[in-house]
Amino acid sequence: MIIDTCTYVGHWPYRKLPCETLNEITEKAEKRGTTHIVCTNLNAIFYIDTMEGNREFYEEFKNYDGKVKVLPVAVINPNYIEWERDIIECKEMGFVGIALYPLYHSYSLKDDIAKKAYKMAGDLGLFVKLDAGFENIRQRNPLDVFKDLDSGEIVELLKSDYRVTTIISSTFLNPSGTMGLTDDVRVEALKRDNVFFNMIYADSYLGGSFEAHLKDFTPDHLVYGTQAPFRYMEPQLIKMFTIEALTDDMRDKIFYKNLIDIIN
Amino acid sequence: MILTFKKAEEYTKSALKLFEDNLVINWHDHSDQRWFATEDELKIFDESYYNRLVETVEKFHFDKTIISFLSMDDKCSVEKMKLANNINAEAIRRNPDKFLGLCFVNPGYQKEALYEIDRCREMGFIGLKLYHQYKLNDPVLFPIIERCIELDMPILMHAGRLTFDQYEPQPKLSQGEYFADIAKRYPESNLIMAHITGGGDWHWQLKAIEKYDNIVLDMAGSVIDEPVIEECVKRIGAERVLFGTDFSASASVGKIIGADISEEDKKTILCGKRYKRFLGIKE
Repeated sequence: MIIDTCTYVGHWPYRKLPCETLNEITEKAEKRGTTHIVCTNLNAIFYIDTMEGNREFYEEFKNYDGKVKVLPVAVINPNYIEWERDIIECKEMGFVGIALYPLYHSYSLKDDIAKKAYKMAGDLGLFVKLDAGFENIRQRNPLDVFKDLDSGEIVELLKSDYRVTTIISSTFLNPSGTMGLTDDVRVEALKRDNVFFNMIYADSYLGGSFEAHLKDFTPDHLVYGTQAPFRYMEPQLIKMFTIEALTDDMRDKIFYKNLIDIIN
Repeated sequence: MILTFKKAEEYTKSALKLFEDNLVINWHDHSDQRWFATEDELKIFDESYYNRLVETVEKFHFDKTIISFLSMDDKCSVEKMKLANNINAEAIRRNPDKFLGLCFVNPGYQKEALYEIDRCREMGFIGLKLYHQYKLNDPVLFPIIERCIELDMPILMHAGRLTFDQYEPQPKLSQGEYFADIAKRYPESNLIMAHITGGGDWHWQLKAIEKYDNIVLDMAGSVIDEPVIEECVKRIGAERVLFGTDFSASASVGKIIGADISEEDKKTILCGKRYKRFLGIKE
């Protein structure tokens, strides 16, 4: 079993992606041995009412009958009217998690509305996904946002409710670097057993950051993710199957065991 | 224990055979990474780093890796560039079957840079590596480019087009159009635009060099955007794409394996078909 914690369907307005539909992304995933994908509709981020995108995605996954299991994640904008009703509707439609995009929806994760959405997700048994960014910050289209999620905001959100399963995605996990999350996010996350990071931007061997993450985050807090279709899936597989420090037990945790609750 | 990832493992191992079974020339990596080291520090060889480099090269079956070492100091001294090249020479001396070298110079010291190119050539280095001390089309580089043409040495130039450089300002970073300037001025030059996926707007870079056949690029770098490799092959052809890693082995190997291009094009990139002659490898 392999859960890819970071995939998307839909249109990205800033460059052409190689695929946009659920059938296309699941076909790629299946070919590479992935059994489950956590998936979000990009359109929902950019529609003024994110629910239009969530309902669009619902229609797509309702009619999907492929082998790869889809774990749909709804885009919730707690800065928009009736967002509480949106979360309930998404839960009823079968979404298993929500994603928050404060940089695209003009609020902060420190704001009460973000904490309320986080708590409500926990109350409803939904996990929360936080994408730090989409494109490498050095190459973003000038119309895109020019920062990633702020570490301090993430820490404050995590502290607001310890029950919520949280996946932090698509960022450098390099406390000493100028880009990426600072170490206080890792420290806060390690106090809990339900906060996970994928390692999409970590390299192995000479770069060595993947190996460092194994030690710093422990396999109990790492999950597998590819950020497809923005990124090739293969670099993630190569890390998982060429690093000698990774045991089969660790691989199982990273591939699916850490997230077994969200499948169930 | 029941292995739950057998299909993915088999897919990956099977895909990696591309590297085991074919000639792989890695045109972009480094013999050291102490970019801001002092002259005293540069007198010591970093054994630990070297061992990791060798481990990486062996793990992914790179037949040849072309290495350099440089200083990121904007005003890198003559002594520093010599010491950096000495470290590179030492790495090559330890494993001449696997490593070949590029000479690094700070073009600001023009006379000394020309001397250093000759010195490195005598040590067997096959090309030149330039960093962001100057833009590629700065006239200070002209005599250096001319010397490389004379010696038949390719020039690997640090490159990129940053749409946002607050985190890593590089005011003299070479954009694609600077390569185009030099390609026009010196049609006989052999230019390698470094790491198309090293961060920055790769669409811009690719478009800027597309028309100039004497510019090739290397696909090293940590950025793994799909479909960058497909776009490179579509726009300039596989023969103008060189394989490279630049500290990002799993990213770079993964990009090639994952690219939706023909097996033949992958082999062309891996062997660096257009540039094989610089290694003394015949068709």
